[in-house]
Amino acid sequence: MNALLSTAPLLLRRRGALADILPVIAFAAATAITATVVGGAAAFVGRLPTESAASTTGEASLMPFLVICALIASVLLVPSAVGLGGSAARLSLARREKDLATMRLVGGTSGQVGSVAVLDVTAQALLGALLGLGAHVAVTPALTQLDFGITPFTLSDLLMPWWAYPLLVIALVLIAAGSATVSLAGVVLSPLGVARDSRVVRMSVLRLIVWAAIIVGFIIFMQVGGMVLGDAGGGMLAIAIMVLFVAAIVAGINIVGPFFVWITARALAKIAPTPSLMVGARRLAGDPRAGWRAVSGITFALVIAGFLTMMATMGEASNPEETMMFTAMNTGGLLTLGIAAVLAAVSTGVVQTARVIDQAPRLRAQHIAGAEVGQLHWARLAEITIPVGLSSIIATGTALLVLTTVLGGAPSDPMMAVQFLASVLGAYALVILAVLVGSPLVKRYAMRAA
Amino acid sequence: MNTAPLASSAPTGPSAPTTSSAPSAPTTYSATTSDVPVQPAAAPAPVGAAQPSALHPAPVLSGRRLVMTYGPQGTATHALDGVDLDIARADSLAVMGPSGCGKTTLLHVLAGILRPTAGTVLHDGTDLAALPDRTRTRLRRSDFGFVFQDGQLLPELTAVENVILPRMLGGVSRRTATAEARSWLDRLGLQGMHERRPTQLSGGQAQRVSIARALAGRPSVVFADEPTGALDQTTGQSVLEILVESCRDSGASLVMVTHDTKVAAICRRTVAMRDGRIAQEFVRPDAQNAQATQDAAVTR
Repeated sequence: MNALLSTAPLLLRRRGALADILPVIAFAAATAITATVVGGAAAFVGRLPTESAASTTGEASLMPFLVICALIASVLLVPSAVGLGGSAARLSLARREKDLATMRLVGGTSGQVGSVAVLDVTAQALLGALLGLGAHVAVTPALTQLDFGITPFTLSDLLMPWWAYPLLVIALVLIAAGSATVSLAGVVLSPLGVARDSRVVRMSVLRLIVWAAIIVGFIIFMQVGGMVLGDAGGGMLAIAIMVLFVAAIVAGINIVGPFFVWITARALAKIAPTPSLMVGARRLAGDPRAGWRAVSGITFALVIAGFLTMMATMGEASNPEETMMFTAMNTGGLLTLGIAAVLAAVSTGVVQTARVIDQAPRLRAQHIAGAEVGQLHWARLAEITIPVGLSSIIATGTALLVLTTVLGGAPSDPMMAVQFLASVLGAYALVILAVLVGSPLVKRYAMRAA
Repeated sequence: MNTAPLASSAPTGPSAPTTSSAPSAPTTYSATTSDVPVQPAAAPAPVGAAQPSALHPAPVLSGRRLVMTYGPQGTATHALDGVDLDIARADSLAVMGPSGCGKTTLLHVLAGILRPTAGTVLHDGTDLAALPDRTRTRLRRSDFGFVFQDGQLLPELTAVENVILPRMLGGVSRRTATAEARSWLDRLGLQGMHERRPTQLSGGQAQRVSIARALAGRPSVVFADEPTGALDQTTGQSVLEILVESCRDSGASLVMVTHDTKVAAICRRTVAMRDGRIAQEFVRPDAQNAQATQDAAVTR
């Protein structure tokens, strides 16, 4: 083992600056966003009034509600950020497959090679986490300028307690190592290469049926639940069941999303009139989960931001507390969406750029055979545009469905709705721009001299 | 760009007559890899130093004084060092030589993939070396076909989609391109496999898809770089036979880079390269008469 460890640095050779730095960027983004979100949520919790001061001011009476909103946003964003860390680990591992096969060829056992691979991922995760903490500290002062309608947060409010930082780094590194270990369990490390399951992907319609059943159940419950349950638990039981239904619908988006991507991509691939759409749709149909993963975080954020923004548009503020609440919900909603957009953009940019690097020989072959560089770009854009379009439809539809069912009304202020839609378009533009980050590489690889 | 009658954009597919005086009926191949291998040709007879073939007065592609240099002066490597080469219409040419002799560079220069440091590549009177990249890319798409060692098929696309891709890139409608592609796939023995992904095909079957892709656009020249390098001998021989006959039937010239004498023997002409130059040229004696007959038959 020692001998193998000592030769590992030689075999796990670096492939060039960009290829090596991609997983590190992803780990850094995951750390920075997690620290910022947790710090922000902790800032709201820190504003909770004490027993003696409870409800003496409008802000104090509003804080419990805002804390719940902040915690919901955190629960939404932190798993996505941590998920990005897991994706980075898988990416790092996938890009090492040839090296791992070489190590097997020169005598390493599966266990030894697997250990070295996990250590490699761990080192990248540690470096990324430390860089991410730096980014978090650099960005936080700007967040003190945000207007939540309450007393502005200070820098010390928004930073986590010192002891939380090493814990966060350790947690992310462990998650990266865990993801790498789980990924290794799904492949066979042989001296002749790394084999993985290459079956044609199929998705069960059961995903759609389950999600639709939850929605139908929710609508039925909203119609008859109040009558059936009456005042049980002071009405809290009905509210709890309603919240559970909403949570199930939102969580179910991740189950039904890949199915929608798969079915849409397959249909588009069969009839696509342009080669770019055909290639993009086929790539999506081949791996709908990866396609959906690129936009799943932003879809959740869109649903929550939609709830918050639309709720804020549904009535006129009649007192300072309501004005404060609407401002907080609006800013919080947009901030959640903004962070989710950054998360999605980093994830998309990293994964897509890595894919360009991995597909360099194929891009070259396509260009030789007559594909213009612009046509290669369009295929990549088509691949992300399909899930982006589906995500916007699913998220907006879900938010509208839940809100109209719960509150019995639609947004009344067109300007706020326009602002929300503009934010949505901005978020998706960021994701699409992230795809374009790899464009210079596409050109370079396509036109590279053989 | 292709002025030959075979270059019609009508969706005729490969089974349509290529010319009224096509030299042989289109051949259909079985789906198995056990096609009867052609017997290796008799040892080719050297015909002296590398000179453009005198059999074909109107070459489809002409390289003149081709020089390709890599690296800065002083440590520069001459991959091509004054190569003259004509490719006749509907001819088959193997480019042989040891690693590093410049054979792949020659193929890339002739195909307009690389600009030579000096010299000209004339295709239908146009100097490829003087064209911008975008124009050369379009020309490769419309006039040339490519078969790579590992096929380079897109794994996400079905077999038929891989074949129609370059046609659609060239502006042909999906319906037209699909009709042509299915016809080619059937002809190459891939009936019932149109909707399979490359991972669901054997190496030989995947290479047949590559051949269909290369020929579907009715190219005037097909460039093949070690097309059987990843196949076993029997399958490789079968694929070679299909490649050469398909090119011949559709009137396309074939330029094939290989280091294998058995592979080269299936072509009518062979040039052997050394240190960036054509050291020798061979013409298969048994092929000369047949080719001359074919040349006379193909109307240009």
